[in-house]
Amino acid sequence: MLKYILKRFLVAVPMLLGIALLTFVLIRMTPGNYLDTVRLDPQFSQETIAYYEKLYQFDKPLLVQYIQWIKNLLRLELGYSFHYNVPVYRIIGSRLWNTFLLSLAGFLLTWVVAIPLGIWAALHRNQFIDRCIQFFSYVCFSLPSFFLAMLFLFWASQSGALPLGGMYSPGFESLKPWGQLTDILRHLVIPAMALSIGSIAWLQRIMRGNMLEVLGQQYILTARAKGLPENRVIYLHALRNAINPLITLLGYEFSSLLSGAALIEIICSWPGLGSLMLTAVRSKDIYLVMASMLMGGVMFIVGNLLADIGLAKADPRIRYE
Amino acid sequence: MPVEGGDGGVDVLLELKNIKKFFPIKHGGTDKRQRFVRAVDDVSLDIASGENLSLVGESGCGKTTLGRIALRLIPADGGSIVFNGEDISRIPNRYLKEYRKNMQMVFQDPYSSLDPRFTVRHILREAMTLTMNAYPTEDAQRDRMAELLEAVGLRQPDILSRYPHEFSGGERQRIAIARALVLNPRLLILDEAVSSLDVIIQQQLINLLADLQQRYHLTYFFISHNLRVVKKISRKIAVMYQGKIVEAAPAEEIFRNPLHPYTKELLAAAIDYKAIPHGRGIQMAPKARLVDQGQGHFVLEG
Repeated sequence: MLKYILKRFLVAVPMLLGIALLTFVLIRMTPGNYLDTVRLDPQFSQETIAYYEKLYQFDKPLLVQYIQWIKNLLRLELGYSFHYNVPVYRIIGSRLWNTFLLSLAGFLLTWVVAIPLGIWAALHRNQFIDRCIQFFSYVCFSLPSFFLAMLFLFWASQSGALPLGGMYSPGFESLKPWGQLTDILRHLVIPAMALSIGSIAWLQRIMRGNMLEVLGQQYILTARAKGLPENRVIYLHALRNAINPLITLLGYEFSSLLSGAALIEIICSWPGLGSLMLTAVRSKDIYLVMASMLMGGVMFIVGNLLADIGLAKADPRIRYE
Repeated sequence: MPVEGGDGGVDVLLELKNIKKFFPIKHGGTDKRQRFVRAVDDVSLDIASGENLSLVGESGCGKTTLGRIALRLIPADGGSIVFNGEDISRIPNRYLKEYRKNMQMVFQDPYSSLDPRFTVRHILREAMTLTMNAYPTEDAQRDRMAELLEAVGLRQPDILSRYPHEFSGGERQRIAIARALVLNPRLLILDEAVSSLDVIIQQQLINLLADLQQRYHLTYFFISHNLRVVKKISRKIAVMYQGKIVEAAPAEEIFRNPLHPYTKELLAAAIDYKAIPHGRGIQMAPKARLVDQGQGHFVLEG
């Protein structure tokens, strides 16, 4: 197992380099760079621009620039943001945390609601309650998340029950730690709900489907024939087998923790990575973009690895050599 | 009613009386009437203690449904199940444990009848922990497991800590049999228990079942589509067709003197692989009943 994990990490290195290369090429293929906007500004002299061009090696061939960037990466230097005029890591750090917080909240909400809902629906297959759940699933699944977010925000603006966007209230600094926590949680409710309702709908359906498939298996009948209590049949035999495919999903979900919330972040003005990346791409702040992409790549690889390890732990039929 | 022991005063272990099971068919279009498949249509069977009964018929004739009803794995729509002199058809599910101990089932597909997440130890022990009084200590459980694995002919040393997918089909079916025997049942329902295995393994398992019967005083209720497979081990054979029993008689009698046209077709199919029982031209009136032909031989007439 340890050998397998090590191997996966080794494979991840060229993969990350590939992601970095692709990001680099893509962003450099678009016409212009950050300095072009500066060039239009009469406040900057030609000398200054030439100085920066030299500093960032925009005058060198792409390959040289790429290699330089990679060299810096190996020293854990992510580069410098033109737009914000600070090193990239200083912006990304806090934004990364905010996005992670939001995604984690949405993710937990999704799984905590969807799994029991799916089981419940499967156990009452085609009965009234199941039909209701499936109907609302279709509705929720069909509604775009940004639209839901706007609906919630509209409701919040009318009722005043929850804050309208952002992450902190104006007087956040003066609050006690406990007050600060509840303040952030209150701000989290709307974006997290908008983020998770669609996911709840599909995850619930997947769980229901898996559960129904497993319940039709003969070992369930065997378990019943043994005289096991129904609870044990469902939660020990059926659930353990039905949860398998979801572990793979869990890995993918983990990888999208950093990138999945961009739209909601922008609508709810949540200061996360998604909205940051959008600004970065539009202002051609290349080092910021590349650093964000790389983060996404790392999360994806780690998420998949976690899923594989989880699967091997959960299912005795899967063993990695 | 039919399939009497013949020698009089036999101890009837399982008695199925007028069992009915109808499955609703989805109705579509303008036809609003609910239609039903008569999966089991007023079937009665007796199994005497220590006697082997085989229920034979083609796929979809209702034999598996009947087996599951007998174990109360699915509810019947009518009729009663009498086990060891006691009507168990109306006992609430939570009190069934006592009876489940006494009747167990081995299913057709050894690849799906064992939970893939459980080791053999776990599979065998699960039923034991249900009735703590029978095997209260770890030692008693271990002894029982060792005894059973030896009885079904599994002798690998590390067998208990292995998972079902590590075994071949025949071995898995042996595990399934050991699993069924854990609590010393009196009746074993074998639903196509050897059908998915090749002929040689089938033969081995049939021999094993015969040995186990001697050793543990079991009563077998075989469910099979193949007359040839059950020929050796069954004392009585009942032939089922479209939810009804069309003929029931001692095994030799069925083979020597099949009376119902469907039984004849099945027999032809058992001997000649190319012959396929099609049941063409067989009519069964709703009021048809089994008529005694003497020597425990019953045939559906009417």
